[in-house]
Amino acid sequence: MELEKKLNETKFEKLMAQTPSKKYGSGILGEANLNYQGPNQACDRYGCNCINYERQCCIIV
Amino acid sequence: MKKTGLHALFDGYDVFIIPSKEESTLLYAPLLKKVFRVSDDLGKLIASQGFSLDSKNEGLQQIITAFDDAKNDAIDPELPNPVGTVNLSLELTRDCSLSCLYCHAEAGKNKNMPKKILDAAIKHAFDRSKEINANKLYVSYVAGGEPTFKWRRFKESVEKIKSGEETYGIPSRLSITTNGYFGRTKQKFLCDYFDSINLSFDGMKEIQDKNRPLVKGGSSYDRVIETARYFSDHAKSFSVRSTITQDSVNLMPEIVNFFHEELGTNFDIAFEPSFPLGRAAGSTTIPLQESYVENYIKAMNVGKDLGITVATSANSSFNRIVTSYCGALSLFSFVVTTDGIVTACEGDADGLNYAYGQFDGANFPFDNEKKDRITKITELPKDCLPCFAKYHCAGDCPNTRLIGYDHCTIQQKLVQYNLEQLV
Repeated sequence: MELEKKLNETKFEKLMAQTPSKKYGSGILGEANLNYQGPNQACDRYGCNCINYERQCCIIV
Repeated sequence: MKKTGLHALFDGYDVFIIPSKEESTLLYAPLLKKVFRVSDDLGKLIASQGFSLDSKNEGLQQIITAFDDAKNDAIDPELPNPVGTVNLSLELTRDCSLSCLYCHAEAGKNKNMPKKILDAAIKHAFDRSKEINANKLYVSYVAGGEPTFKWRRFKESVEKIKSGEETYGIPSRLSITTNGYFGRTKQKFLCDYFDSINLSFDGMKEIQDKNRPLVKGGSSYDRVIETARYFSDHAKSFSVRSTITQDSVNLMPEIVNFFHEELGTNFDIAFEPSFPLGRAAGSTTIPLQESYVENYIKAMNVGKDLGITVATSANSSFNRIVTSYCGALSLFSFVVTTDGIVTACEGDADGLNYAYGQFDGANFPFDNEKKDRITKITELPKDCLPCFAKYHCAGDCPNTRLIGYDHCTIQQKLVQYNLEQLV
């Protein structure tokens, strides 16, 4: 839970921080690098990555 | 799958051309880990000509250079190797103290797991963990009815697993999803033994009592809120699962405020929309996906201000590239039903869709042909190939696809929302 919280809090800031500050040519209005991990699985309830959250979202409980 | 804009390829890498705000277009290359906002004119140029080196357009040439550089650090979308773990899930009972409007398992049946099957399932899980040198056994209690309802059998199962830890020298990780309709003895036991507790609790009294009444009618709220308070003070990891219907969708931000007022901040909130499966099949309580996204974003921002993580599955994989929806099917979860059927999915309470084994009185022989067929179910549907959200949902839950439903609008809108925040 703490790790998930930390990731959620820092995700955008980290990604935004990586946005290059170079000048753009005609037609480019913005650019960002994405700090993606992967490949992985959409559902993280099986301890198969670092966020062991067991949200069990696919099951209506 | 809904229409999502145009799709181009850069040296074999997907580039999605997504219409955006104020006469601009997003160019999204997930495997190259890049997103551009460009003018609609440049977006149209790329849509019609692709990434032509012959073009004299300065902007296009800069994008080509940036994509070319990004190839060095591109993500290979092959599936990761299956992790060496066993995921045991025990459907101890199909019975329940509540009668939730949308229960996936249509719980309320007097079917319980015999001791012989329970003992054999736990033994098999530990034997297999030892065989593959697993460093931990993952155990989840979510399949079927309320796991704690048949208390003696439930307690026995936990004690058996704890005893197995010592016998086999393999620690376990216990997680549970529970309706929380019980008193202090059960609350304390769960906090003592479980690493992760997910409480099914929809929100304010009027919502909770409407969605999750007692089997014979009546309010569940007072007991469940007491359980939530105890869990927020004592659980090792605690999340509240709120299922959203059309009636509650506009109240999502208010639900976050409500939980904050009642429970503080030592928990997460996981929202999910109800969908037409189990008792909700044919129901009119399924929320409109557009309303769900709009209110989820509001709720997430309320949570951010309050210091509470507000999650939903469609938003959980934005910072990851995913190529398979669920470990349950691709890694083969060992879910044992009350009848001793082995199925790969906890949502498959009767073992109708993902069964690959059956208790034979002593062991659980597996049918490898069935396993192969289940593995194929996790493959990305062809309709999803041009969709910009495909690397974040991997085609969504196979259970959803099975009933001809999808969460595409929610998934696509949340991916686009995240991208829009960045450029």
